[in-house]
Amino acid sequence: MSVRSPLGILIGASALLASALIPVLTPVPAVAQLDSNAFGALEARAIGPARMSGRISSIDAVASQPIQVWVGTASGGVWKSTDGGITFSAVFDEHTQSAGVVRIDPTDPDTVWVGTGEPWVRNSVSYGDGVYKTTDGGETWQHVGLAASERIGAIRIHPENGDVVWVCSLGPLWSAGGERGVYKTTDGGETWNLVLEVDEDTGCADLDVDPQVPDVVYAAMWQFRRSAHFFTSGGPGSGLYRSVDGGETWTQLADGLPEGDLGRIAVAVAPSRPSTVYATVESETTALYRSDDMGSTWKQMNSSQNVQMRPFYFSELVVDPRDHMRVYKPGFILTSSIDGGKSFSSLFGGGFTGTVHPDHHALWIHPENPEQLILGTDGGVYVSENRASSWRHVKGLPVSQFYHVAYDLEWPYNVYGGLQDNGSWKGPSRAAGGITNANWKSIGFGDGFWAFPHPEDPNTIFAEFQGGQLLRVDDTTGAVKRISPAKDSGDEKLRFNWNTPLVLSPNDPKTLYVGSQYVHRSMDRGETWEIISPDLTTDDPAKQRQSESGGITVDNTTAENHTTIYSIAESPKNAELIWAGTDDGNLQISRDGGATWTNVASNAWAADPAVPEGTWVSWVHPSDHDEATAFVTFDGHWSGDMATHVYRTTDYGQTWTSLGAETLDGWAHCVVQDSVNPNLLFLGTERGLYISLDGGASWARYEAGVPPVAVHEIRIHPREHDLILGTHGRGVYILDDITALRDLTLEKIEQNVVLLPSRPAPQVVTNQLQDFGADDEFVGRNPPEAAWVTYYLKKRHLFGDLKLEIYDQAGEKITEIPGGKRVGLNRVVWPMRLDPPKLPKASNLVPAFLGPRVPEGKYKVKLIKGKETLEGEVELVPDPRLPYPEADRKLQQEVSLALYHSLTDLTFIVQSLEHVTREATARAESEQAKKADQKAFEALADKADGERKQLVSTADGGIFAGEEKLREDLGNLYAEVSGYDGRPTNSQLAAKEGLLAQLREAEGRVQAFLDAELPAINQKLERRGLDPIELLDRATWEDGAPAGSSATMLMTTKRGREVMLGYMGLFRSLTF
Amino acid sequence: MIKKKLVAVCLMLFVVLAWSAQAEDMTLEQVLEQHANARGGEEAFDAVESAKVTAKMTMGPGMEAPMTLYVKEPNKMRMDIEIQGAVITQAWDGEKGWQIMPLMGVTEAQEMSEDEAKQIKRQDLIRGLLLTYGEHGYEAEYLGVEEIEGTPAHKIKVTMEDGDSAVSYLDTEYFMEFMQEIDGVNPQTGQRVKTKVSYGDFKEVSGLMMPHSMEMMPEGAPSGMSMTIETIEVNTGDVSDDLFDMPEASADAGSEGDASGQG
Repeated sequence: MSVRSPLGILIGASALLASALIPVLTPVPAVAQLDSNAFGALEARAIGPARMSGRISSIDAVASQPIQVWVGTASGGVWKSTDGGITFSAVFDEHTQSAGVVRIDPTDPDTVWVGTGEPWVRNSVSYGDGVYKTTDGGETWQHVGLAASERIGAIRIHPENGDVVWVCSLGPLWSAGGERGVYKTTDGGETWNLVLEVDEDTGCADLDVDPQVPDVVYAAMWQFRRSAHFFTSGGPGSGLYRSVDGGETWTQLADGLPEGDLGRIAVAVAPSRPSTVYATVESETTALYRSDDMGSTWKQMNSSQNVQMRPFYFSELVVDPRDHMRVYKPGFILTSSIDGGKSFSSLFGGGFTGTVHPDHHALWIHPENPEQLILGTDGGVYVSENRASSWRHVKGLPVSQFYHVAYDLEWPYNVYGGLQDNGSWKGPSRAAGGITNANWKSIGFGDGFWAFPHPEDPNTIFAEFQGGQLLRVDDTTGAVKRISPAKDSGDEKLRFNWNTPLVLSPNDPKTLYVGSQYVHRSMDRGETWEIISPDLTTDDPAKQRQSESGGITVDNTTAENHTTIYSIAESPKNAELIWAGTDDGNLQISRDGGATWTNVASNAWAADPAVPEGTWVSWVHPSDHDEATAFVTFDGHWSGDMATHVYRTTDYGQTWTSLGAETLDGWAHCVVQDSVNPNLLFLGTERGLYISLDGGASWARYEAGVPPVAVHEIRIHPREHDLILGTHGRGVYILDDITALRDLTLEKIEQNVVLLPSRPAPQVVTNQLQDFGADDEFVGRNPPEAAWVTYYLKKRHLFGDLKLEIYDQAGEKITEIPGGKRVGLNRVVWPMRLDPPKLPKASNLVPAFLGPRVPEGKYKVKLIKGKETLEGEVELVPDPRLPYPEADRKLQQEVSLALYHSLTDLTFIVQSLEHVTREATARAESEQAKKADQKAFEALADKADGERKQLVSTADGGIFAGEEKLREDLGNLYAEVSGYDGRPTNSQLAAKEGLLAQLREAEGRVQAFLDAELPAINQKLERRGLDPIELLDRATWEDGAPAGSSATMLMTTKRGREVMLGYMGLFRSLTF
Repeated sequence: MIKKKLVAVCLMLFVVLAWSAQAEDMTLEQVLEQHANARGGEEAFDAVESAKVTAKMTMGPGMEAPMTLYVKEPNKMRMDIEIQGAVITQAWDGEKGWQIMPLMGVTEAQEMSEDEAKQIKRQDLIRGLLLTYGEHGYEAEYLGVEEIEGTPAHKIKVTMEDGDSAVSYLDTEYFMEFMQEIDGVNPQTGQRVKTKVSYGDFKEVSGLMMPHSMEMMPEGAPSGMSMTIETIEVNTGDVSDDLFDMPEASADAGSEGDASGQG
């Protein structure tokens, strides 16, 4: 790394100053350091999907008209709707995406509290970092404390005083201690008091406040703990408490409640009669209890299946706001009771066959219209207007939780992946009009994980569901063949992880690997499997107790399967070199195709004592550049270690270097070394994407468009050079074309301006087919239909020009484009077209909005920044799906161009006539024009206008008058021919000849008319001492004539007009 | 050599101290004074009688329209945007707003409703909101220094009489206003719309530093609009008063349309 001398920087700085204004000096850092700003405007685009959405942890709403809905998601942030749930926008994207609890201040709808860290503590749950508050409806957030709470069970706000808030903190899931219990603030979050504390293993799972006497508070305390292989719900710490002095002192409630150890408890006060309180209590016999004396005594009411099921995961209870005997139990399905909890019935089929996604964690009931329900599930938000009789799915929440992501080599390529509780899906990286929910296709079921197509047969897709259930899917028919290795191999049961590794050889597309405690290999699409390793795990029986896992209620869903292989990777440089990482801390390498294996994990622990023996190996990435080099991440969060552990070896695992850095946040999921630039690394953690330009010595979080969401897998598309992110909470992101990042170095980010390369730009066919949408659905953005130029600015550009100039091979300047000015990477798009066609004014519109595409090939780019000019190149290539013969492409380009120029010619003729009309009218109106001459001048004006009317539409009624003159005919033909990149039809070619002949004829006619009439008129003018009428000069006209305009496209649509008028509306605030 | 470096390091240290003192202790008045001076100073502003601005608007890849903007003291403004030969005009004549929207079938000038007019009512496009908020009775608040898009900036919020607001960011080095976040109400829907406006390519015109590039990005929109200012002519004398007057409705609305046409 070159370090510029401070003196040099000063000289540079003062030169800059001299060239500009007065100003105050700014400190210049002596050493360039990568920070997030370097990535600037190089924004990734979210492509969803929102079709199946993701897990919702909390819902609150303002009962306004329309209702304002707030949704807290498990790992995809906080979303807000102000239009009754039609559209949602993310309002918490700078903070942890595990939202946990959202609660609106009943005294002020713009004040909202978010308790981060999800309370539904399944194996894949994320973590939070305290409590946040907004007082402006989500525009800005303040962190108000409890940073060590990790997760929040509930928040309640005093019904009359928004400064009084109770926070029910669960505390850490994977370790003891932290900030757990009931915290209370009476000053809006400035200070907190821990008012109910049990022990270091017990937190608060639920809390409710009597709405009429807010000094009466109920709190459900829960003892719970999770490890990598076991979950425990319940213990002596659990219990239900009540305070009658606003939380200062508490009494444990026991009369009528079960004896012995309790598990998770949910508690809910009936708003319409607060003496009635309901609780679901996990115990040996989990049941619903009701108290009609403010919790003093309790009676068991119901222990039906949906009340009992999975209390650690389903522990929500909602009482109807107007009817104290009607109570809802969201759980595996939604059931309700209308008799005070005696009996429950299902509100719909639910489960696997219902129309609504099962697994319910949140329910909001409109306080004035209790028929309106909003339900939060593992598959997003549903709204019912008729008390659960029918449901509408919210289609605008792209909070899908991917475990893995893959791609194919189609054009456009598709992405694939498996999702938490939402199967496996396939969707396109671009689609006509954007990537909609309808573009996504199901390719699996259950919880989805690894999913990818066969590289040589994309109709064959490999996918899986939880616990190593492998699927081979026929994409066309949907036929599924189950292809897991047999459950029993001799006497020993195979152990498959929840998220079982299913990977492809990078060297031989026929080779598939899957991991149990063994590495299995198949060469025939999963028909037969061969074990190519011994048990690579510790095989520790103490970590194989998943059948007992769960605590009071056993919960064995394969989520706690342990001592399994979790990551497998074959070196792209050597098919005999295979890595396998296990969930119990082994890192094994074979250099002979699986014949022998060596555990090198202890070498990695030696490099960093912070990583203890047994730490989960979350990822192994063998280098594309060198077979001895590999990158590994360890995930310690299973014992409460949230630090980012990432390592590199360059000697087959003998020694390791820690690549950790203080700038990293969140436990590590995956690491990828770029396939082109070995110093470019991408790291996915629970808190986002990190990028290193120096081989892992320093890292910066990539923030451009991507919130700090868990990044579970990162892929680089080998043909498009796109970075594809599989996030657990915000679906898939694509960072188009990382060519520029590959070229960026720490040295370059010290330079003032750097022009960077781009991949060749395809001239993608413009899809004009009709398909109207609406606002209620998330639509993933396409890459722009344009070539792009990427450059880096060290400082924001302020003074002088910053623009791009594009030149063709002949050195002819084609266009100028304004450049982005921000610090870091800027990406400017060039639509690969000439300026829009010039058109004469008329009453009708023609669809000739866009200039013709320039031919494919290489174009020179000049980046002009003040006095500096940098030169580069962009290459345009045809749409790979449209193999038009070159002769046809040439013909189309010629004809488009001829019509384009003919429109310019016509514009000149018409404007010449307009000019004559204007000039002649002005002369006629002048004092000096005697009556007789006045008539002659008027006659000339009329005649010129008459000629004009023969060439352009003039009928009232604009586009609906449908009048078509030469302008309209030429414009329409231009639009037809330029809109299709292949050969024009014979009819179009004939029409072109005809119209061009008409144009030449009109040109001649107009010229003849002017030649015939003007000399006499000008003589008259001279006699009257008036200036002669001079014709427009073509050369001068071309210099000054404005380019045509395609803004029409905007103005002809309602949305377009709104957009444009919106811009005009800005004028009162602007400065020129 | 070592000595030189030492001097340089000391200089840097001095600069750092000077800067941090400067940035943290400034008041609204001081920041705005620096801003006014940086842009050319009161005298230069006072000398502007009229201006004509020509620009190219880009509303999306390949979608461009030429625009001409006229302003004249004491309070007139007019904007023409040309689209397929037709000209959209919006103007404020000092007392009322009017517009011609030929593409929506309105070929004659129409007076704007109060809500519409408020949006184009001429403020002071040359001085900008920051230097004129007081004259309009608006409130301004200095919100300190904040990093925005990687650039440390003085942050100032101007709130208008109807609750619309504009937050301006001035770089701490040159005090140029390089970004605004405008929060206003769409008069058609009554919904709030937020738009980020970036200013750049500042160049001197008649002693004033004027931005020659603007980018407008509505919140949540995939792409925005940019405006490249080609020329700014000050006090050329050809910006006549009648440019701003609403044209009389007449049967022969020039060549805008054909009165005899039978649609």
